[in-house]
Amino acid sequence: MKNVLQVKQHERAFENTITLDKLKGRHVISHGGHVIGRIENVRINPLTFSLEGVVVRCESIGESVYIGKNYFKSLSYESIILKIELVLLLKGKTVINFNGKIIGKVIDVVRKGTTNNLQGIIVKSLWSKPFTITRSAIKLVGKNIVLKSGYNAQKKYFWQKSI
Amino acid sequence: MPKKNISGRSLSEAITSEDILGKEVIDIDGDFIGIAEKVLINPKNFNSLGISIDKGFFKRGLTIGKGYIERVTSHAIFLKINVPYLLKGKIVFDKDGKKVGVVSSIDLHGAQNRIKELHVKSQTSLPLLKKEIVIPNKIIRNIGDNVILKLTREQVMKRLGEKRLESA
Repeated sequence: MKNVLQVKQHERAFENTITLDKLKGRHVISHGGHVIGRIENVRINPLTFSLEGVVVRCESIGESVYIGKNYFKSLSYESIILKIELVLLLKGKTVINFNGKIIGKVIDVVRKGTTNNLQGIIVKSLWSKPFTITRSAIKLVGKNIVLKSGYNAQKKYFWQKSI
Repeated sequence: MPKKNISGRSLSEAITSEDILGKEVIDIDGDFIGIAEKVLINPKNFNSLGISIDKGFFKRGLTIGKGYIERVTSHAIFLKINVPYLLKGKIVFDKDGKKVGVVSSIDLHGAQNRIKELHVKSQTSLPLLKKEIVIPNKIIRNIGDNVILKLTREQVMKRLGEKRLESA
């Protein structure tokens, strides 16, 4: 690294900082190792001048996602590793009931505000209307979503009137 | 009409091989592993030992001991484990998120569901420089969609170099 003169007070030493332009295009990886996408740009707080988050291009959902720094676990020139699994990426996952029967696919995710806290999922099967499953009815979220034994929502088909 | 029973005990709670065969097998992550194709039975005491799973036309089958089965339901068989053999082909990242390679094979502790080592093929553009790295279980931080290590790639290579010197 080129030696630079430093003019600073209590800030970190130059050697202990990283340049943001090198982060662009690097991977963002979830807690479980899922490659979420590449960094499109880095966002800075104009008041505190500190890094606030990054915008990631998620090819799997075809959208760009702004991820706040509180969800970062580590940041290096290679990639950013998050301490979470993005609930937005649940879209498209298969939903299975307690008995192993496939009841549909996730078409949307309900979150608490803009956080990563899952409130529920909106599920649709081929012939049904979209219906919501709350977080309390979900047993586990992994490769697919498995529901708890008590979940017994009646399927509403598209030809049935909504109440 | 109810069948006559000469077993000496109530068999109303029992399930038959028909309740198992042909059903989807789902692991602890909700991933579909394959279809139950055989029920394995101990020929001496006739206790069931586990199930054999068909993973598809081009994949080798898999046998799961009954201790790893969580429940058999009307539509599927749920396991209480992740199947480590499914790690093959997953990407291994180091502590900084740098790609180390791709899992080529997995060594387990005997026939138990505990990973001993991962054999990882390092990724280089030159095929001649491709080499296999052995990653012990203790330096694996997390296994999910892919594998994340506790050390950097350089630290892993250094450790492997030291081990080679020790064994020489």
